[in-house]
Amino acid sequence: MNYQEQNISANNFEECIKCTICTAYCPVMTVNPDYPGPKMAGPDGERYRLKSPEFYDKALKYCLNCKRCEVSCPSNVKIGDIIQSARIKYDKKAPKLRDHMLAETDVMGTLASAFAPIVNPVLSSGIAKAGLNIIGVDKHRTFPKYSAHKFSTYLKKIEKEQREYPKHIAYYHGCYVNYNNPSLGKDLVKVLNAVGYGVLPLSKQKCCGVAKIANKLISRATHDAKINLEAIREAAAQDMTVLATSSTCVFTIRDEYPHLLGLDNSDVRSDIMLATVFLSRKINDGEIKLVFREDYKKRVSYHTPCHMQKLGWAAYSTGLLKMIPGLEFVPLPSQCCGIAGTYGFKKENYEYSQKIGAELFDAIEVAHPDVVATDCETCKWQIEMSAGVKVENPITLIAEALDVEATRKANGLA
Amino acid sequence: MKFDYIIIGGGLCGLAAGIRLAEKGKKTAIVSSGQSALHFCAGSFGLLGRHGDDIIKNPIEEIDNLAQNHPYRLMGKDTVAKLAGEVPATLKRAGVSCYGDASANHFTLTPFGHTRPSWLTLDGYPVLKSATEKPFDKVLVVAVKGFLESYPAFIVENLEKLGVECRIETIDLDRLMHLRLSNFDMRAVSVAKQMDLTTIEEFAGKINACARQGETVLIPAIVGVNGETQMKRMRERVNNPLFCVPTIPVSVSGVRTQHALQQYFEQIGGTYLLGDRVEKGIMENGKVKEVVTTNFGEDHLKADAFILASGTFFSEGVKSNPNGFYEPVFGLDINFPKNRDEWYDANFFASQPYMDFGVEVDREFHPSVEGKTISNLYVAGATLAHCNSLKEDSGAGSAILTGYHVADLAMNK
Amino acid sequence: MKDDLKNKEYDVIVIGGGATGAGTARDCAKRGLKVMLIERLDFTAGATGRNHGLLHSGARYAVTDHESATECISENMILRKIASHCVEETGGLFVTLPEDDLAYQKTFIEACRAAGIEANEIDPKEAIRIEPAVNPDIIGAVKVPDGAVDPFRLTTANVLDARIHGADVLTYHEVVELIQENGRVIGVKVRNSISGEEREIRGSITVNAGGIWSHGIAQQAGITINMFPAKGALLIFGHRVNNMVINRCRKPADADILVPGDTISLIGTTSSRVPYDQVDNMDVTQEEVDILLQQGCQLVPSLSWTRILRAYAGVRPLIADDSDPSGRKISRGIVCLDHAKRDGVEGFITISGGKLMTYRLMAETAADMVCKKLGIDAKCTTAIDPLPGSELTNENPSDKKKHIIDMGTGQIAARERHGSLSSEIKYDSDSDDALVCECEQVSVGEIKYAMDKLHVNNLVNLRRRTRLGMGTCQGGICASRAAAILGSKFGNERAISDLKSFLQERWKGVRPVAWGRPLAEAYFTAWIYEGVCGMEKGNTKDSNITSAQ
Repeated sequence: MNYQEQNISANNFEECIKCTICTAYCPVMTVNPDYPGPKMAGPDGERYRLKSPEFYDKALKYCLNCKRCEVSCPSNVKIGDIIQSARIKYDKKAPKLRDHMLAETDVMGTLASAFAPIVNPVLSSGIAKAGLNIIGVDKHRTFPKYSAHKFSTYLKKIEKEQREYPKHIAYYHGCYVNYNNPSLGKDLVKVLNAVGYGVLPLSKQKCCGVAKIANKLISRATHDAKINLEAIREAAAQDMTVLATSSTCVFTIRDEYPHLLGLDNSDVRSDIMLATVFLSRKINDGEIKLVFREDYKKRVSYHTPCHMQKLGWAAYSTGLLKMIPGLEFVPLPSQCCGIAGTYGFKKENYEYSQKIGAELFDAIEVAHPDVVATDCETCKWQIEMSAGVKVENPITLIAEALDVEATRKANGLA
Repeated sequence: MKFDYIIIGGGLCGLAAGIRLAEKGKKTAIVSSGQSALHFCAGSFGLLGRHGDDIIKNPIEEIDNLAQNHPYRLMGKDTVAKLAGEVPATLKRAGVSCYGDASANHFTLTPFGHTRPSWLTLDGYPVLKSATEKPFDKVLVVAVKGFLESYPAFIVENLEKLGVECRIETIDLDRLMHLRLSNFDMRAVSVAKQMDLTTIEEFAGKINACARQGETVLIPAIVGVNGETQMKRMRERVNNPLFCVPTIPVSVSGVRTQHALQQYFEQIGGTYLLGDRVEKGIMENGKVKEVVTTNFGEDHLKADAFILASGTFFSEGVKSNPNGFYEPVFGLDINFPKNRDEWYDANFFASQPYMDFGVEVDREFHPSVEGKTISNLYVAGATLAHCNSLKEDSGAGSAILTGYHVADLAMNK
Repeated sequence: MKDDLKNKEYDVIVIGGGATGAGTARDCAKRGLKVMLIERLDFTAGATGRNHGLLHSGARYAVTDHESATECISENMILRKIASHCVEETGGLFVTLPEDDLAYQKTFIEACRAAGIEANEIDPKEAIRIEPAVNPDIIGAVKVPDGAVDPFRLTTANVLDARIHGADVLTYHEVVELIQENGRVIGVKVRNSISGEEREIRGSITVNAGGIWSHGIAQQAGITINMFPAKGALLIFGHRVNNMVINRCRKPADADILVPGDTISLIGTTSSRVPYDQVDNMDVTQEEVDILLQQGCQLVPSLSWTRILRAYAGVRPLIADDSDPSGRKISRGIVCLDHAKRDGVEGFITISGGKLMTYRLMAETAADMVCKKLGIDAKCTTAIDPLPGSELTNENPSDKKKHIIDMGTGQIAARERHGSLSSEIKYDSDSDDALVCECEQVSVGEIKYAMDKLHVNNLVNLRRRTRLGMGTCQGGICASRAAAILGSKFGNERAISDLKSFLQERWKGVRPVAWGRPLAEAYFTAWIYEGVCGMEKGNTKDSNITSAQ
């Protein structure tokens, strides 16, 4: 029979056999009883929504989009995508001013960077916090400091010298490196330069859109996504891999663009990857070598961000860290920290956000590392605020531990 | 990426094989497409509980009576006995304590209060000498208010048949109030996640307040999702003897065992790739050269040998469509009748023919594709044909023991 | 049996708890008669619960059977009003495929108009726009007022209304003898199918509304009715594939109707004659499944890759036309036999033929005959008065909308199932809102309501009243939870054995389509109940209620 050879359904929702494993891994369900959980919000709810949109449950907004349900699903049901697609399709409530503020990371960043010396103290002041609290940003949250100098400006400035390297990559630095933490970008330049790669800017880049998608600013997100994809295509045409240092940016561009925004990125999906993935693969293939300082000593734990878990690439980042001889690696169980991008910034989610992260914070306390490494900036804010420990991107730790001269030599650079 | 061994499937079988390899210092990766059927574990592991209509007393001695191509027969009785003897110590190293002996089954209780033969029973679950003798004189079955996944009245129904004097008390736990407000959250694992130290104290206190002298207390298995200490504490606090009765899955014992084994595997150097799927194998000269996974994409995973422990229908280790049954990664040989009517029995509770279908292997546990043996691929666990683990109560035993066995075969090659 | 029923003398005894029997009981009760409704198993256990659930516009019969077509469209309009909570006004399409003769469409439209059925030809492109599931290759499309009707809810509502008007109702009571005195049926002897206890019930008139089983019932009075059992198999798909009824515009044939009903879609039917002694065990064969899929995929290509939940078959109670001496001609319309005239047996009527769509008209016909025999002049009101659950509420639409927003999705689902009667579902304790069946969103409260008010003796009854276990997992997750609740009323031993027959009944429908994920689902269910809970062939007492319930 030529029929029924396989099942095809949107986001595989019909593959679900109701085993309920996803509900055991949903970080939200146990802390927020209003949230029906991934099975009900996802494939179960989808059947009802197909019957009538009146079955859309507004509690779907509590989904963190952490995708841990998808990671745990033995039947390959895209539970998280089902939930997010339903929010986009059925939730007609307009985003609030607060949502716009949180989501428009590049507009906010551009403004704030320009006035960083003024903005930073204001954002952490009581008055600003009270104001933000009124529009729905939780009072416990402090916005990350804005840098006075955008990383993109720096990258332009060094473009000429970078072009002199024998090989090149293009860097999708995203908003966080650009406006808040240019030094991470500089760390990447340091590491890549040492192995013979020059770091070039993309022709254009916009925010990846993760926050806009979460806040249902879909047309804005799609607009930016198209610009990003074009720029990635341009880089790919010049045989450049596009690297990023944020797992969420990479995840959004690779997977959320096609799944939630309906944009076909299949031609360039494998051209954008995390910097740690790129380095690991090149090392494994014997193309590059890293040499580390002998005096480097640190106890480090790695926190797997949810989107990193979904990408399945934690083994690359931890593999790189384990290569550092003086680094004592203490594993942590892979758990959600609770921030989920802009989710934890919202007043109505703050309490849940902290409860979700509690187990992870306890585990960090037990592990007692000097520093936690992670590939996601919002996880960094959450863990630094809640566990009181310094958090760095693995690239920063590698840059710190790297013996630049020895590495250059090992890679045949003068 | 390159490993010594790659195991496809991260359930009980994959983890057993992985731990065996990693303990010997082999660089091992497990690729697991989602969580496993171990999540349905009902507090105990069977090696061979039943054969046909018979309840098996000594599983090892029964092995010679199994069909020629049964995985245990392929391993041989002595190998099964030897490996089975090593299991409790390995589990202990991973932080999973249990009781049992492969040459003498004991019994434990199911969520409905039926007795069931068991090889290894996890600490905290009842261990009974016989299926038909009265296991306790008096029992207090504890019901937890609002919890629909345990069946105290059914337990009483079945225990009374064995002559046990039973009564039920319903306990209301303050901490669960907010879960009850939701229509979805009163599930074993969600409830167990609320069981912090204060709740344990509250629970134990309320049991002590209603338990009478001479009663054995049975509680639903909602304690100890993160480790064994909570259950220990619970048993210390409660004055009467106390046991867990498993619930409807997803089970607390399943989640705990899965995590304990996975963490142990990672501690001893294994790489556990959760949520990734092996899409296909790339063959070269009758061997698997590398596998392609969803997440690693163009970075193919290479290894000297591969172990397929991908489970069966539930975990998609064996798939089906109206035309038949197939193994989705390598297209391994599976035997089945062409006529669909021969796949099933009309009686739901009869032995269903389809449950025997699986990957055919040779004595070295190598599978074949169109009759050609793949010499560096091993198949273990539920993926194997000729083992109806549901009817035999042999699921956990065949998962662990064939997992061990193929790990040994792969290392000794 | 309740003691107060013992010596009661009824005006009318209705045999058969299908739509026709329930409708006849309702009609008679509303006309002021003392009514007893007796069902051998459960309501809707026969053909009523085993069809498309199609609210026919009559268009399907327009070309071949004008009379049926006019009856259908008239009843269609009535049911929309009196049974609004059982009906979904989806609209329907008759589509012409490239291999079909487009000329038939013209004949079809003309025949529809002649029967008073609104049939409008629309551009195939427009048809694809309003119903994206339809085969994109269609060359013609006609829009008709088809819809979906839930036969379980419809029958239950009729039973409830009969009870409201004083009727007594017995399920699980089989008529084992028609008691006769002087050539007149004066009552029935019934056997309780659960306890085996036998009783006599007296009534002036006995109405045989036994569907395909009418044949055997009439035989008890020595009367021969020639029934022609025609088996029809159907497939249920996992979710709503289509939102309008899709028919094929050709002479009625196999698998040419796809009906959306509640959360699922149904394709059917096949048609084959079966021997009368086989009517109690209808298994769907491999061949029938294959025909349904082959034909169905032509109508709606996505059926080729959509999950199938189960297969089932019903038996159409076709009846021989008395006008044909050979007894081979099948009567198409409603047949109401006065056995006094026909066979010389007074006090006994058989109502048969017809279809689910015309159940009310059949009931009216039978009730008219009952009244005539009793010499009572009472008007039929069933075409005007809404059924319980379908009454108009006083809420204005904006209030209703506000109310919906405050309800959980489970409560909205319950409201769709029980209409205005959903207000009787109590959410008193903080676990009444908890879902038992997650696929179909059936709560503890709804189950308690059904147990108290809707004649529920077992899990299969509960399924028919609530949709419990009708969803994706086919009872895998919810059966044990529901069994525990039933156990609190009927005892735990019975609940456990009932759980077993429920799982067996679910497997019966799953087995013909058990491949892919549905097979994994069945395997998972077996793991839960055998592997985890320890149920097996030997260790639970077999229920004395078989899977035919």
